[in-house]
Amino acid sequence: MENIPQKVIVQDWSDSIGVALVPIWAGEVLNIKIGTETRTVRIQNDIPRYHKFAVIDLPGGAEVLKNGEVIGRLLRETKIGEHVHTHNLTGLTMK
Amino acid sequence: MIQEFLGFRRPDGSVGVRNDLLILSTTGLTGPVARRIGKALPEAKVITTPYGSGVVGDDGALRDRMLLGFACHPNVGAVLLLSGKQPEAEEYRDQIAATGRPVELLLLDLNNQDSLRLTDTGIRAGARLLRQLSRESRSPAPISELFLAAECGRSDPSSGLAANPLVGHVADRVVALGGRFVAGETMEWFGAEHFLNRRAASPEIAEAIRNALARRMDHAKSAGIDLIGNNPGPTNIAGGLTTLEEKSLGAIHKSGSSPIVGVLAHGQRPSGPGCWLMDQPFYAPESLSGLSAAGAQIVLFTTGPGNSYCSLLAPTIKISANVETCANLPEQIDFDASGILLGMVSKEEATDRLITHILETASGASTFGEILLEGEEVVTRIGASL
Repeated sequence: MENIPQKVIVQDWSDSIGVALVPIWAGEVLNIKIGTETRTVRIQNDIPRYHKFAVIDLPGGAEVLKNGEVIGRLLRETKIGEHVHTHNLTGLTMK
Repeated sequence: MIQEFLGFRRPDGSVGVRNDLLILSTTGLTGPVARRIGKALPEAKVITTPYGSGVVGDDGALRDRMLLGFACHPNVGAVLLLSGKQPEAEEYRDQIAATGRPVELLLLDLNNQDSLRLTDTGIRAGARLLRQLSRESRSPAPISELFLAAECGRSDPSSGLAANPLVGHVADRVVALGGRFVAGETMEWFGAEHFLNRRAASPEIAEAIRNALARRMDHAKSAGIDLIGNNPGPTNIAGGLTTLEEKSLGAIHKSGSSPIVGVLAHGQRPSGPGCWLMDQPFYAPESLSGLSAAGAQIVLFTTGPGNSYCSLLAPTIKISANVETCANLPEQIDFDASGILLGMVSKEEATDRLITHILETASGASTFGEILLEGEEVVTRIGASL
């Protein structure tokens, strides 16, 4: 496990999303390092390289954190393992 | 872990990480002579500008600030000044001499307008200055004497995910130890205003950040460029970026998270330690020269697919977290940060390694850009000449 390049990165322990470093397929189950803990996430959709997915269940309207900072607000409820992109995430300052 | 470097202590209190002879031509007339002298003295660094006369108002003030900023850069040990404009050049010479640096002024007017005679005089004067510099030696200096700058050129997802945050961790470490750090590229602040606003050390600084960005946005708008409607663009979105905040934060994270203690004009020297922002052009040649004119001793330059351009005076450490780039450009990328994305090194380990690399570079280890002579400096123009 230690020598296998990681498939995803969660930049900060407070983050609500992870980023795929390789394409990940729906149904894959990943053990993801988040800060000091390891969380098990079942991926719900195909995630292209460098795209985001939720690492916790998030209600609609929730602020999404990446690298410890707010990058936008969810347009609808998003479950752990779901793709997070333009269909369910919007910016705060500009429309 | 080592916490100091070996640098050249200057009479003005700054510490150089190089001990360069700068051949500086401040007028278009003397540029070819400066380059000819530079060919005869390959150890020296040459900066020329074609804009000598007729640069007025704010544009003139910017030119003075940048040329004197280069001449009095901590890494410059001595200056050979060439000019076709006597009174201005004498004023420059006096200001450079006031920092304690040896400076020799060569004027076309005092050499019978003879560029060949000026070349001969210049090579001889430069040789004497180089000999003098070669007798000086390095002495230990703490991290608090470091002034680092951040720059990025050609980004990809690895930049925002790893390389820029890594540089930000270094920024925080250096600032915590009493050093200076500066990040520029004003247009990158767009979308990260909330983040920068929170970090501003005072309401006045927060306002200065907002105003600097608003001026650039107005400038873009008056040129017919719409930065709001289509940002992030289709390529960004296909690459996984969803919001403007996400894109901007990925870039601005290279300034770390310390309080922002002020907003500098392009090429302006910071008045004290801490993390500074510089209001300046976005693209690398101009932006690097602003950071260098401000006196940054070393630039930390992040790139995704690669970028060979460097500052001439400030050794420019190229950092990439893209594993393919690090493999494909082994004579360009000085610091391989791809281990962060591969899960091979922690943020803390990577930060320690980059600081060690910076201290080694500060103590004399060459960057690829220095070895391959990739560096230049340019003086930005903001107005029309007379």
